[in-house]
Amino acid sequence: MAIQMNNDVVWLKQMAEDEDYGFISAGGLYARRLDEQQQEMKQSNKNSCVLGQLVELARRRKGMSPLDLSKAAQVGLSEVLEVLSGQATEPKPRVLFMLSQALDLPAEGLMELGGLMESRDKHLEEAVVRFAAQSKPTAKLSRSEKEALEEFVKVLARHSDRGRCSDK
Amino acid sequence: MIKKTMTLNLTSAEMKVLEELARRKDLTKTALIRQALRLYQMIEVRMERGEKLYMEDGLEKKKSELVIL
Amino acid sequence: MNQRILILEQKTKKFTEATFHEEVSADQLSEAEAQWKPVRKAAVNRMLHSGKSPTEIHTLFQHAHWDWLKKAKALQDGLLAIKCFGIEKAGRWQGLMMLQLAGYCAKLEASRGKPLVYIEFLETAPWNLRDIVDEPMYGLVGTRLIEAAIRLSIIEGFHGRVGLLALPKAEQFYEKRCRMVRIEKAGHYGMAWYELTQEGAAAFLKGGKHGNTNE
Repeated sequence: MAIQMNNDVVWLKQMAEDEDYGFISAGGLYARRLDEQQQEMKQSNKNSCVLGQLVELARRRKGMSPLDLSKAAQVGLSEVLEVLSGQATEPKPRVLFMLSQALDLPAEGLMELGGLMESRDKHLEEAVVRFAAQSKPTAKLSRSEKEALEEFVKVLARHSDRGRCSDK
Repeated sequence: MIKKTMTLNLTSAEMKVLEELARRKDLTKTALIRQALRLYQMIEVRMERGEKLYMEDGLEKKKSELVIL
Repeated sequence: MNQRILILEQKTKKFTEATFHEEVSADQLSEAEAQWKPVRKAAVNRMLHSGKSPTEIHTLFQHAHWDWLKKAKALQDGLLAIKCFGIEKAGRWQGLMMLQLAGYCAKLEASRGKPLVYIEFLETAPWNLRDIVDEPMYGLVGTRLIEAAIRLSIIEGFHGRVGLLALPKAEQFYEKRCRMVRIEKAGHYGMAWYELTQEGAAAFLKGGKHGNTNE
C-alpha cells in the first residue's frame, strides 16, 4: 500500500500558520556522529598536549630557547610557541618536519602525534599515555624526565621504522 | 507496493504464540510476521558483517552472546 | 512511487508543487549531499567573517556534519527495516528522512514495548532554514516528512506511533507542531526522545489548533 499524502489546502494552511523555517533536524544517527566527534576531539587534544611536552623536553635537552628553536628550525616563533604549549591541534606538516630535524626527533612519529599521519598500531598510543603521565615540563630537565623523553623517543623511532617496513 | 499472499502453515502452539505476540504488540498477525522478518534480516546482515548479538541480564547486567542464527 | 505534494513557497506565501519520493536511492542521497554541502560551507564562511565564534557556529550548525554518503550504506544493505523518503522541487532535494521500522519500540507508559516508526534522521535543505539563509525558500518540508512517517506507521499497523531523538534546536518543532511527547529520561547524547502517540498522530493528520498531549 502506497502512502497517500494530504494536499487539502485547509489542512496545509493550518500547518503553515506555525511555519518559522527553524531547525527540524532529528535522529539517532546524528547522536552517534556527535559522540564520534567528541571522541575524535578528545584524542586530538590529548595528542597535541603530548606533542607539546615532547617538543618542550627535546628543546630543553638541546638547551635551546623557543627563539633559538624557531631560528634553527626556520619556523615562525608563534608556530613554535603553539606547538610547545600543546595548542597545535592542526599543525602543518612542514612545521613538524622542521622541528623534528632541529631537535633530532623521528619525523614520522611526530607527524603521527600531530595527527597528520594515521597511527598504525596501539604501541604508540600506549607510549603516548605513559609519556604524558611521566613528563612535566620544569625549568631543568630532571633525571626521570630525561628517561621518559628518551624512552618515548625510542618508541617513536621504532614505530616509524616499523611503519616504513610495512609500507614496502 | 504490490503485495503477495501466501498460506502459512503453523502448529497450534505456534499459532497461539503468534496470536499472543500480535495482541501484546498491538499488531495484526500479518504485521507481526513482517516485523519478525525485518528483524531477522537486520540481525543476519549485521552478524554477517562480523557483529555479535548479546542479551543483557536486566538485574545483574551480565551479557551473554546469543548464538541462534 | 512518486507523488505530487504541496509545500509552501516563502517568497510568495503560496503553496507550490513538489515531488514526494517514497524511495530514495544511495545515489540520490549523494546527490543531496552535493547540493547541500556548498550552501552550508558558504554560510559557515560568512559567519566566520562576520565575527561569530566557532562555538556559536557549531551551535547553529548542529546538523552540518551530517554525511549522507555514510548513511547510504544502510540502504545498500537492502534492509527491509530501512526506508528513505525525500521531497524534491526544481531538481533539488528539499528534505530527506530515513526511517527504521524494526528495532525501536514506544517508551510512553500507555504503549510501552509496542512498535513504532523510528526516525533515524530527518533533515531539510539548508536553503530552507532562516538561521542559514536570509530568505528561506520552502516551508512545510519537515511537516510533510513527519506526515509521511505517520502515514507509513498507520499502513504498517503501528497506529501512527512515531519516535525520534531531536536536536535541542529542533525541539520546538516536534513538541509544538508535531504534538509529540517529550521523554527526557529516554534520550541519548543530550538529545531528548520524542514520541507521537496514536491520538497525537490522529490529531496531527486532522489538523486544527495544536494542543499538547502529555504523558
